Amino acid sequence: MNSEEERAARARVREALGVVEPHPGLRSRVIASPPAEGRGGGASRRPWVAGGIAVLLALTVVAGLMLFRRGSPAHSATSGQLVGSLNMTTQLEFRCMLPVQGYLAEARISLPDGAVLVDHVQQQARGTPQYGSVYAGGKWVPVPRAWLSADSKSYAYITNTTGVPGQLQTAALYVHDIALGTDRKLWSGAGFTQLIGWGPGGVYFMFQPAGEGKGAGDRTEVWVADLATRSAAHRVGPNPPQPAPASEADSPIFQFGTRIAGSYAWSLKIGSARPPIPAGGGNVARNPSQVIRMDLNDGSLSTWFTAAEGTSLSIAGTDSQGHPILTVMPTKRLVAPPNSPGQVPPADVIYPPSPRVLMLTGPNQTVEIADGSNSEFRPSSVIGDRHGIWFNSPGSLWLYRQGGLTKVADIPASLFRQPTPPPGATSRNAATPPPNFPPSPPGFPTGVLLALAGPCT
Amino acid sequence: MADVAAAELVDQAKAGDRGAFDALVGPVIDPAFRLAFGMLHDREAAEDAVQEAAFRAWRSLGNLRPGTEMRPWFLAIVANQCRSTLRGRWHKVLKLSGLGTPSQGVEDPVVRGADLRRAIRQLKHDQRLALVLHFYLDLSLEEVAAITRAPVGTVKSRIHRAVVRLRPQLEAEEVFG
Repeated sequence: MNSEEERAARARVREALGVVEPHPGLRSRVIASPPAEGRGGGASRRPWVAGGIAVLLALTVVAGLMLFRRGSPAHSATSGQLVGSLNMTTQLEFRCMLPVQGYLAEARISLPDGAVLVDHVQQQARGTPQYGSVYAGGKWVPVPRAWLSADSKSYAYITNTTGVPGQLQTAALYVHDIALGTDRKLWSGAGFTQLIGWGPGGVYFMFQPAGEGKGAGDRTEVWVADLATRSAAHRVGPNPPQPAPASEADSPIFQFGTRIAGSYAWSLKIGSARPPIPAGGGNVARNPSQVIRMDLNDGSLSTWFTAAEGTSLSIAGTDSQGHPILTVMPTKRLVAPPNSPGQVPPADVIYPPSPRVLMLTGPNQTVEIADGSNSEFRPSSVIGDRHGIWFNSPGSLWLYRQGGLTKVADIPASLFRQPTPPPGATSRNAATPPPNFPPSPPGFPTGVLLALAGPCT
Repeated sequence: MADVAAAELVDQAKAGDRGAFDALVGPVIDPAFRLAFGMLHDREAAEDAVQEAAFRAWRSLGNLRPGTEMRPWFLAIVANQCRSTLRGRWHKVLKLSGLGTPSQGVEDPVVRGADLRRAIRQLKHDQRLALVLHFYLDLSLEEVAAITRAPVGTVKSRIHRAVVRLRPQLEAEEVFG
């Protein structure tokens, strides 16, 4: 058979069989088909034993579910359980699993069918704080996405020690090997640190040196620790070194919310409040906030975006190309806290308007993703992947691609647990809003808010 | 995508971690479905075959060595499942009785391919499998060999024999192509 004959035969076979796609829900159906309890491997060699165990396990699961349902809402899920489906509002033409984190739950959403597969559910909030979860390499890792290495095999974390009489505040940077469960100290020093994340050449962190020397405690620096060579961390920038904040209200850059994308770190310089600040509460003017980019190769800084005066700016995430995604709240003012009981803030502070959402493509160059007119779209979590940019919002899931923003699905409240008052709290002693507390405006979303925990793969 | 079976993923999947099982098998479900459809020519039967194959794969995780490439491993299980399905009594009763009549002269390419599909169904299983993997899934001869656990030369021979047997339908199709 020559190549021309083979090509023709191949084309005929393909035409005869047609191009078929599986049902969108096949993947979730297939993955859900094995029993949840781990019995893989030995079952094929001992089918009768496995069958007996399967019956026992099934009885155990049923009994467990009955007991479980007595003490918790009916919508709660056991490990790896299909709990239902989102109400899809857009028909997607691709298939993937989108990991999300709900209240006390880690789950994956099968798209385009919307089936929700809950992997883990905690029965109650942990005593120790958890900063987030990320789904990578087929497992959930209990750290923010930025802390996880690119190969998903390790994560970094920081410890800060303070309050020891006679001692300066100290900090240390560790890397945890997920497979081995071991921790390795990369660096330690005197001062306050905050982890930024993994970038070119190692793990980046912010460092405020402690001590009484010149410059100590009044600047924030970006450092990198080289994981491969285990060499001591060294300062990256800012270059040139930044002076101490001009006023107490000015925020030092490279502090909270800094993100690394490619060879750059993106941070905010929050506009400071301008006096006078009303003693009993009221409107306060503020300076414009800025997006600052640091080149991690040389530590140089450049201003890439300056928000309009009085607006509130944040970096929600980055797209798959490393462009920052900004949210701009049209907050006309800061409001000083009231100092009299029963006084409530204005309604637009309690129920803020929807943000504008922008993609920063160059210095002072943006692409508008949302203009702030859709009251339903209030994202707080962003993930960029090969499909586009995913956004969460209360009660819904959104996708920006090919220049357009669309609502992908509504999230039924019954699929995820909602926070409940702590044990012992009753309606009598629970905090109740004052009588003049404004009601939520029409269309203000109050549904389930899911944090996006990784790209859709 | 888990191209190879990482040891920790296999361990977690064996322990009942659906996330790990999804990481192993999820990315190969689409080609698995196409293989099953190419073998069974029936969407529902193909989806059932993939689901059953996934269950068999889960039961066989204990035999899966870390570092094994997932796609050939899982597609081999799907192929075996398709063979079992084709051997099933009801599949023969339902499918072989509904083969239809020759469709020469019909312009619709899907309908026009009925003769060829029927001829493919009448191939020996090994020839049909090699043909579907190589022509329909566009897998290399080496990967077809890995899935069918046969030497590359044998795979070439099976495809050649299949094409020879299909030649009347293939040439007839060309008349209307």
